[in-house]
Amino acid sequence: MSRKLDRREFVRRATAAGVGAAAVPKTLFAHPSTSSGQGPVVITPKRVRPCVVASSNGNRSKDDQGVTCVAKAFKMMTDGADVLDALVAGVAIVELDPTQTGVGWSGLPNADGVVQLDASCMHGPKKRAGAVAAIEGVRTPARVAQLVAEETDHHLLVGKGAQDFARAMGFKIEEGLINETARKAWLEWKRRIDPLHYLDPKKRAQAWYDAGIQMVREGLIDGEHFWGTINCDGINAKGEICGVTTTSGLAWKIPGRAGDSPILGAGLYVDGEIGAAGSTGRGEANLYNLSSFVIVEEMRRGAHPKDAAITALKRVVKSTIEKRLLNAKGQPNFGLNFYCLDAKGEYAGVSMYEGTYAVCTENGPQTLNTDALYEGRPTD
Amino acid sequence: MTRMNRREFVQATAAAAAVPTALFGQGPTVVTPKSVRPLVIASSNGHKFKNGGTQTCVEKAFSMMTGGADVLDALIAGVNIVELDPLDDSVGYGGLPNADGVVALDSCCMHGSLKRAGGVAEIEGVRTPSKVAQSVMNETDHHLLVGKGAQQFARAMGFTIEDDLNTENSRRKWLEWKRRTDPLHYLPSKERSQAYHRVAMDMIAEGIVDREHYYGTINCDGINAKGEICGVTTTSGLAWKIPGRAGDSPILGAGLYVDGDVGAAGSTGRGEANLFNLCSFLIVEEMRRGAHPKDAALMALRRVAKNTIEKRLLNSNGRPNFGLNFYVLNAKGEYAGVSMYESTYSVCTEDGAKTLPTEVLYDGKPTD
Repeated sequence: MSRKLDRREFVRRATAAGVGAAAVPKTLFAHPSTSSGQGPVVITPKRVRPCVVASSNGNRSKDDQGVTCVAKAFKMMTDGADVLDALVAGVAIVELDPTQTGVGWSGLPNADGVVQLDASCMHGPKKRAGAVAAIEGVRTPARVAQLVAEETDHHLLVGKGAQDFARAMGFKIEEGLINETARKAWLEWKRRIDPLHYLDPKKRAQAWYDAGIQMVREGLIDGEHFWGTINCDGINAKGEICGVTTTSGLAWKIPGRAGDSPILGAGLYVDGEIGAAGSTGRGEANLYNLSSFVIVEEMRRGAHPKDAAITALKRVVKSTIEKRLLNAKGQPNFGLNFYCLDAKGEYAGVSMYEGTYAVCTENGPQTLNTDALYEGRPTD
Repeated sequence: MTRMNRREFVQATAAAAAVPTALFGQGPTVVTPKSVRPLVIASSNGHKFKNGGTQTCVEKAFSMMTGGADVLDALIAGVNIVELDPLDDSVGYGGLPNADGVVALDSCCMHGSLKRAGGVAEIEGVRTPSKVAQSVMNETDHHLLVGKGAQQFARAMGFTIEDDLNTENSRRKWLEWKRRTDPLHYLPSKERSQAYHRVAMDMIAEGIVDREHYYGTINCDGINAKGEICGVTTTSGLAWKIPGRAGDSPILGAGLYVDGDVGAAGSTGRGEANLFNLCSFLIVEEMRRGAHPKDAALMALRRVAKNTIEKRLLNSNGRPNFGLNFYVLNAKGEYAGVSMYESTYSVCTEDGAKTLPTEVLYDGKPTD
């Protein structure tokens, strides 16, 4: 389990934003009004306990100061930064972490050995959103997605066009961007599937998947990183909600395959007045069921984040009817996780099978167990 | 508008199960567990283009479907007519190109009863992206392929890859746009995007580009007598888009959504509004809760209006300054064409193919 921020130091930083004193139990703070040294707290029309929630890697990867994604985003946010700026800065820690094989430049490449990244973000109060799919040569796709929201009339740029846009925005484009660990894993995969190269596409897709799962079993790749992604959502004391999702996508995907991460409503959805939901796990399930959108719509009708996410998982189960996607019990044979928060600052991490997620409030960053729809494992 | 000869049409559709027997001298109707009046609904270009043949999209799809073809196969054969017709410069071959003069196409499809779906975004060199979307559905474990990867996949599936899908018409219109925007090439990206839009609006006002084709697309949805529902959407996307821009058409839930037990919804118009609001999905969800197709679509339009807060997207009445249309049918075979401002759509039942005015949220025009 990851190291946590020093509690006292964390509390001190959080109160500097002038928000902690209002919403949290006083007993946590010895001297709420003096510890910040900043005079009266800012009165906002809508006061919420700030919170950042993310997939479990959001409290695992660290920057050079030892700060994790959720801790960084929470601190920036409570220091007054725009919520989305804070979240994008937070996930950049994970995107840039060379030990992460599911997110950012060090992610596992596609079938051709090329790293292609997906990301999306939404700004609740501004009602703006941006995304990129299958972008190559950029280390931090979430930031490119944010610029799509800010600088264009569009919500989604893909492939070469997305890269050209990033170049024009001043991003460094790196040819052949790939991490040594990821490249070796790809070579091993390639060795295992190459004889299958001329199979018909359906059998090949199956063989690719099987080789991947086998490598997970042998411990050559982390199971969580086969579909690895980070989603990170936050709400500040003013009740402003934003979210971001970024990934290198499915390991050894067909070149050009886009998952749910760049698709608004699939891998991420934010409504400034309702809440935010995002996902990691099998992207196709969310592309089909628009799960993040379902969760936000359920919360709009009054559901708690946990119940909303359980509804979305049940919907996925209902529409999963192909045999190849079911385990011996007739349940989905893949993992799927949701991270949600609502406008009241309530939150939940919910998954098909047991998992973990990351959260940061004024109590500091924590890794918690998700609420699961099913006991056991996808492969049971 | 020319219509199919009624008698000929009835003959062609007689194989269907759900129509009154008195109409046909063909013996007993097939008894199916679930009997629905078959129906195909599409954007208005679904009953306009024939690509030199005798049938429009909705006619072709309806006759194939009632002749026993798979619903999705029928719909895709229908929209192929529009994709291939060089006269429609908003869909498939001859669609208005991107800012670099390259035609890049988007499409997706969903099969309600099989619960399968596929999409392609920004695919170049293939005239019928809807068929590639169907191949993604049938042949891969994925729902969405984009750009070069989508093209490589199409090549492997045996599609002809062409260097250029422009027609003389689309090339000439792009050249005119390029001439008008070139001095703006070095503007900051925000101003440039604004200038692109303004120049296009001028060209529409001057009659050089058809308004409906600026954001032109075709969506086509169908239900057969067994109650099987499918849908398909295909487009060349926004005229002169930033290379790489994908609209709502390849995105499940945005430009198309189908639930085999509930209904289908698809869209044409400003794609960004659907990407943000997931309108097609929202409409199907509303129908799931019992709403009529028309009411479900109006609810989605209201959601779009509520979430459109940027000044540049509002007209002087404070309403959205863009068009947005929905084509919707439910499992009972009820249907509606609904739009932000007045427009038309096409539909085909056993009464033949028709072009009808849509139900609107607002009177007047987007530019008021």
